[in-house]
Amino acid sequence: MNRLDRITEALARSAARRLSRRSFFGRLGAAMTVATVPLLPVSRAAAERGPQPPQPQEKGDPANCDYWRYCAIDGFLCSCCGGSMSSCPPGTEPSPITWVGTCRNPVDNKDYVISYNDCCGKSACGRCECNRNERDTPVYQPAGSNDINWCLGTQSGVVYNCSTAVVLGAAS
Amino acid sequence: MNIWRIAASAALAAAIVPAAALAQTEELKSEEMYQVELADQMRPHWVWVNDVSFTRPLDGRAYLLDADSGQFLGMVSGGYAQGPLQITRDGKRFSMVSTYYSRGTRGERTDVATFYDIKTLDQTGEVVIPPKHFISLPILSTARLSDDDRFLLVYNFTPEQSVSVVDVAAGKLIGETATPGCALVYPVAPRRFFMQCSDSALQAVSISEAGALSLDATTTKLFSDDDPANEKPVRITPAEWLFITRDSEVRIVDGSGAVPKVKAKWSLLDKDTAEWRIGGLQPSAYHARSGRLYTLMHVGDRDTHKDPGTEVWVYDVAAGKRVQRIKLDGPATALAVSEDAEPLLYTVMFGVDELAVYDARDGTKRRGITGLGNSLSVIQPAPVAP
Repeated sequence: MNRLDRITEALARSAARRLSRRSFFGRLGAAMTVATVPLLPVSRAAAERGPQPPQPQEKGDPANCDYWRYCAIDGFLCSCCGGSMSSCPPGTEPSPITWVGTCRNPVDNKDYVISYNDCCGKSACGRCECNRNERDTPVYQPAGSNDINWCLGTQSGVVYNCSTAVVLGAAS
Repeated sequence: MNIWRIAASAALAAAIVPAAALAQTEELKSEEMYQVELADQMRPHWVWVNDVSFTRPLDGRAYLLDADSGQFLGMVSGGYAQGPLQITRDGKRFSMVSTYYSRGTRGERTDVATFYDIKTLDQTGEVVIPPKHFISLPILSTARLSDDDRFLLVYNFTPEQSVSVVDVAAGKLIGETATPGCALVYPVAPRRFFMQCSDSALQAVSISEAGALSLDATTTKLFSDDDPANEKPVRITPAEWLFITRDSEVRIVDGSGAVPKVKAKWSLLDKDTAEWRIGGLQPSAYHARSGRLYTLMHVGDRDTHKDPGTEVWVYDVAAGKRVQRIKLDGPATALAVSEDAEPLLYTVMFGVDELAVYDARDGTKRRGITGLGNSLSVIQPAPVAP
């Protein structure tokens, strides 16, 4: 059971940092709040939510395979598909479990843990294909493997659309 | 006579002359359509090429080609993210494991093992299996037939890990066994296989006559964390698999005993070739008759383990020595070798629509078969006829 524990722990830890129960309840709470407050036309217009941009202190182009966060990515860049390096295109669902990589940010020269969540539920976007394999592991070590279709944890199913690269935090 | 009449007469004359010349030929007969049927067994130079259709993955397929004539013989459609085929030892039948959704990209997921014969490339049966088979870029060991072709063993990942067993002869699902921490299927005998585990150990598994799996002995850690074995080994004897690590170290694992053992260790590299590395999606192949290992090699660092090869290096496995270098006509991410006495070397490059065919002995390129789609992943030659 040790092996299972290790895999489960790695996967669960990365999952918990993104689509946790907290975020589910957060969304639920937001929905409930909205339901009790009458919607004005202006607030409906404000409901539009664009792709999340890079953080201000970053450098590089998230639509380019050379962008620093993509050091272990494999697939189509969501930045070219209606999303961004940290948001899924409209109508696609982020995978709750995925593989993680460690990439060096050239601006502060620090290593960051990057989570490569897939966006799922529509066929492959097909744009900006990018495959980089820094510290990529074989598929029998799944937590670090970019060859696996990680859409398997979604409600939408395994149909893969594109890949993101979300900063989880500095690698200690 | 006006100009139009003159033109019309000239045209008539032009039409009559050839008609008169052709009057002796027989009139075309009406035709009856029929479906082509192939030989009932894969010929030695027939080869399957997987097109995972990476940019349109709902349309996965595999092409059957005749490498001698360059002819496209036929194809099969495998649904979402086409995986490799499981070809029977006699080359007469094959199966594949597919995923379908009831509404194309959404709805209820159905996973199914579909059985075909080579002669018609038509389905001969199917078995619905648990909807959790492992989906990745194609890897040959995600589903394997037992050595007597009786059972189909399918690796699942949800990320809980398990293996489903299908009784091929009876056409029914037998069951599913949890294989915590361990992945993929490497047969070593008709009723035994081993799996690769995340701590770099191997797990032995036995199959009962009824198709029930039992997890047997586990090895100690056989590979280091910073130089793991790849998951694309080649089988060199019924009980032995040849693994290659990220740093191009060879480890031959003997699965004949109760606990799999490393039987031999050597390196693809020496001091003059230290900057080279093995790489690709299907980076090695073995030709049993000659005892030769074929590897896709390129110059690159540790993180280039999926990069295409520019050369094929050939090794005498018994001696652990390189015997030949073949410069490829173009880079390649996969290679395979036909198993007959006049072996052909096949390569494809993911993103390029061609199967390249070389003479495996002298390395000369015989032909390229093009127009095959843009996501060619694994190559599956005909098995050796028994």
